[in-house]
Amino acid sequence: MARKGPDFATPVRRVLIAVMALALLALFLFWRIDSPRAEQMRTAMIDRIVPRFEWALVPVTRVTQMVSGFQSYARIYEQNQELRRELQRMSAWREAAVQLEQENSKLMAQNNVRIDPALTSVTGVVMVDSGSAFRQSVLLNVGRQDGIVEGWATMDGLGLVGRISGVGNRTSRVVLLTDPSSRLPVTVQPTGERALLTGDNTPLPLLEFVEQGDNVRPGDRVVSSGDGGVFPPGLLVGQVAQGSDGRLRLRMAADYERLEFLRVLRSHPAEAVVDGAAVIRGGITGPIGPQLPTSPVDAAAASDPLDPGTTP
Amino acid sequence: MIQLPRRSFVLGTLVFLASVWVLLFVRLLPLSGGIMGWPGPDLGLALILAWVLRRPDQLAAPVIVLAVLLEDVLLMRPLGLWTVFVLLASEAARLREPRWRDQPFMVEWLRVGILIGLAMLGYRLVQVVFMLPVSALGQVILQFLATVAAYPLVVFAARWLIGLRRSGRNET
Repeated sequence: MARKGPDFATPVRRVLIAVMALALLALFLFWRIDSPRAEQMRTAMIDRIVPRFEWALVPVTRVTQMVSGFQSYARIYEQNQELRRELQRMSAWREAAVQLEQENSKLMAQNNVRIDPALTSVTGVVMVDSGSAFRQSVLLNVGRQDGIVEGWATMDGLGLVGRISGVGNRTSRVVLLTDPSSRLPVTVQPTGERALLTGDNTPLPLLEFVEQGDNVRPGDRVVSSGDGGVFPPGLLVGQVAQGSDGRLRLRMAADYERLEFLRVLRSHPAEAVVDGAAVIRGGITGPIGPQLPTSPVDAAAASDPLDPGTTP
Repeated sequence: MIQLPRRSFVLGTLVFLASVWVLLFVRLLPLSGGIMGWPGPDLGLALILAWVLRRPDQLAAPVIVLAVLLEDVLLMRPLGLWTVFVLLASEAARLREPRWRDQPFMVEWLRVGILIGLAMLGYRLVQVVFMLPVSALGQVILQFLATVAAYPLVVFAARWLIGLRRSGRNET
């Protein structure tokens, strides 16, 4: 066992290593060129792998959450006081809500309004998160079997969380609004100002392209605007906050620290790429560019030479 | 001339795969969802380098590729890119292992730090060349520092938990 040079660094071995590295580079190029297909393969693999370890994931997660819950017993007295105060405030709110509900139902009865029956949801449990500090996404335990479609909006109880991107048979990935690749058109509530919510890997995503910044104040409610047809309009996203760098940011309404159950809104038919074949390949076989006019010579050759050209 | 792989090789491979799986598992647990703290160290890379520098006969290159490729798939990274750099770094370490063997740990640590830095730099360079979205530079530097800082801990933990030590003499 005590070989002096522990590895037989033969030329063959070096060639094999080089071949392996080239194969990996080829895989990377494949991923770069045909990204949708590679991502489908990835989704399928995750779909195979992760649910198998659910039996281990769930108890470990639960135990850790219980431990952190246990730690919070240490300040149970303060918590109790806090809750009491909150409860008092809430009962005032409850009164207001009841009154508003009565008023609302009265108005709705007058208008004969019906709530959109299509606005239903599927609830999923978060299985794993992205596992790295550079991407923000979670994996839900609902997938194509449950009718999940790419692009649907995902909320926790209160606010928008992200959108479905990547659906496997039993799992689906939710890209959170804080992910660096996430962009969401939003409306700032009282003024109706349009803006774009841009994730930048921090807990408070940026609010960009505000038309008139003067109209937007910290504390304003922000809802999804529905531009682009990806999300239904009017879903609560959060409140405007001023970042320490003076830029407008958003405090999310959803509790990002405790993403456990998420609702996937089955709210709109997903945008389907109808002519994907024509865009990618195989759809158009002729030359690319303006089409040639039909040649009169061909037409003449195809017709019967003895045809007098008039119909009897 | 086919000969069965040695027992220590098989055992080492299995222990390596199991420990990589445990590291990945802990990373994927949805405990810190939404809390964006510091990017933690890349413990898998540190473990691979420590292993290659201690028992290169136990860890074949395809096993490394398999483990890191699985990590690539599950962590939503570009497929295969990081694997190439980990493979190259581990091969570079493996080639120099006989020469580095008799030197003190501080020197090894420094060299491993340089290797990790080069791998991360190359990874970032390819990301820029292929116009992929690059993560913030500050976070990458933090991750590099964390990984280098965690290297002695990984060596220590591997020594005590799975008995990873040099094959020749009993010294680290």
